[in-house]
Amino acid sequence: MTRFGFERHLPDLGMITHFSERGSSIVHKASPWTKVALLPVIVFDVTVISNLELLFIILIAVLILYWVGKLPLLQLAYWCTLPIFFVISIGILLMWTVPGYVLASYGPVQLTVQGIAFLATLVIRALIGVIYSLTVLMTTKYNFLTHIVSKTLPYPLNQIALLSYRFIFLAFDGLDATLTAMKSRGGLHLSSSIQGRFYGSVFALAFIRSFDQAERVAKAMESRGYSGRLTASYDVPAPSAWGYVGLIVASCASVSYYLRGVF
Amino acid sequence: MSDENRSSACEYRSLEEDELVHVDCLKHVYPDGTSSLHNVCFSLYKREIVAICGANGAGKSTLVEHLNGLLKPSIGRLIVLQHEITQKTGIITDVGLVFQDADSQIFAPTVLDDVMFGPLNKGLDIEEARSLALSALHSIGAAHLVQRIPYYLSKGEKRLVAIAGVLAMGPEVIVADEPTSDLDPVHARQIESLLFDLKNKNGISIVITTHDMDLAARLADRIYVIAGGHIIATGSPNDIFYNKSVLEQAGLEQPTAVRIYESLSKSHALTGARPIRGLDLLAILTEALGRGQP
Repeated sequence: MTRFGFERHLPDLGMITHFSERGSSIVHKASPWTKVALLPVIVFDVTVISNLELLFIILIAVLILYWVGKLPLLQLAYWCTLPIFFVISIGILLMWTVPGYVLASYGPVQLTVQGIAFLATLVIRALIGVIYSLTVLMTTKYNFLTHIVSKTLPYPLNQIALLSYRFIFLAFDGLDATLTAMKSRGGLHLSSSIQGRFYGSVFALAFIRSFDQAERVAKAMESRGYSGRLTASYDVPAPSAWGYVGLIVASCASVSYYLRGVF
Repeated sequence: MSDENRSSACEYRSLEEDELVHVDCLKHVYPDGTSSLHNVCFSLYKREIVAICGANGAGKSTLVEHLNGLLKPSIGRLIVLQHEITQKTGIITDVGLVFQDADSQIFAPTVLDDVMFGPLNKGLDIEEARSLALSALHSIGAAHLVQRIPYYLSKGEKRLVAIAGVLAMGPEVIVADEPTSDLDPVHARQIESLLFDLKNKNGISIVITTHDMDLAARLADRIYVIAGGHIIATGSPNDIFYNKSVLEQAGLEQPTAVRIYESLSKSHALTGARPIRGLDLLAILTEALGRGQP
């Protein structure tokens, strides 16, 4: 699909599916269990680690993993702009309240080195989560994910998770189509206040549409005998010895770091 | 459905031996209280193609979604493959429903996975499901799509995959909602001949909904005309397509061949059976030209 302008910043269902189903890199060949199990470890890490240098090292490691997976780096840069924008829009308000070495002062609020570091920490934390999640999605076949989710989560949570996964894709797809249609009528060249209002409507419309489409997908699934339980059509390869070692090392390192901070 | 719910104006008919789908006095009421079907009576027999013709919003899709139990009748009786559909009945998977929008039907990451979805839901093991899926794709000439990602398929290819998805479940009846809408002429003809073959070679009974009267003329053995949720006429294509007032009432047009024939027959003596398809008309005109008529 040719994408241009604002739409490039939205995750592309087709591209994600293409890489997950067609990729043959070493990351694609790694056990899906290992990749998925590392996700909570990474989420734990970004939650407990506040050291900027350490977070930066994890970000680099995740980026290397993405690169080794032969995934598109330029596209990743586009996709990362939305979470960065989201985090900055919230973090920028909070950074003025962080005490520390003052760089500039504007009345009651101060810009400090620690405030800037705080904002950078938030952004890096978000990026680590987003990039690793995209790496997992783009290097793991959908059927493997289906299998893992059905095995790890209890019913009906597993079904909700699987259908939400499709719902998110549908929402992005709908948003993409609406923005393209809007752009084709010159909608992206309006003044920022009007554009803001338009974007609000577009997001609301995309959300409603994706609900509607998700309902139709569920209806079509039901008509082919789906009764609330997705049947996995593949066996998921178990983690290799290296996978187990990596998981154990990562988990131990994370827990030790956390305990060191606690005690 | 209890008899007291039945409308007094509508009588239940007796079920015939070769009737696969039997609908009596069907009424459907949406949760907001809007009625979309009123006393609909419908039958589908073995090895036939029935077209439900109506304008947009006439109730075609609502009617066909009842035929495999996806929607349950608010009032009326619905018997599908000897099973009476009630509020508690599950989906009748022997009736395959091909949705109007193939994108809504195809959800898996590859064509093979999607076509395997139905057989797996029937409880078959993976190898059996794969074999059925491959066979279904092969039988409709879509074997080359097996490893493709549905997202990148053309609309015509998606429609083929959607049909393979229901065909893999070994249905006795296929219900296709607007099977050729949005398709280019080549893909539309491909789907059309596929439906025709499914009836003639596989013995599958087919229901299509459409507002394309030329398609209905080419495919259907019987026609139902629906307007405002009411079945306003039923009969052979010849009876229906030469009844202009019924079609106008439903917001439909006569098929092209019928319009040309009626126009020509006002000024020329044309012989032979009244045509409903282009080829029938061509035969009549060829004969007329052979007799020296214009």
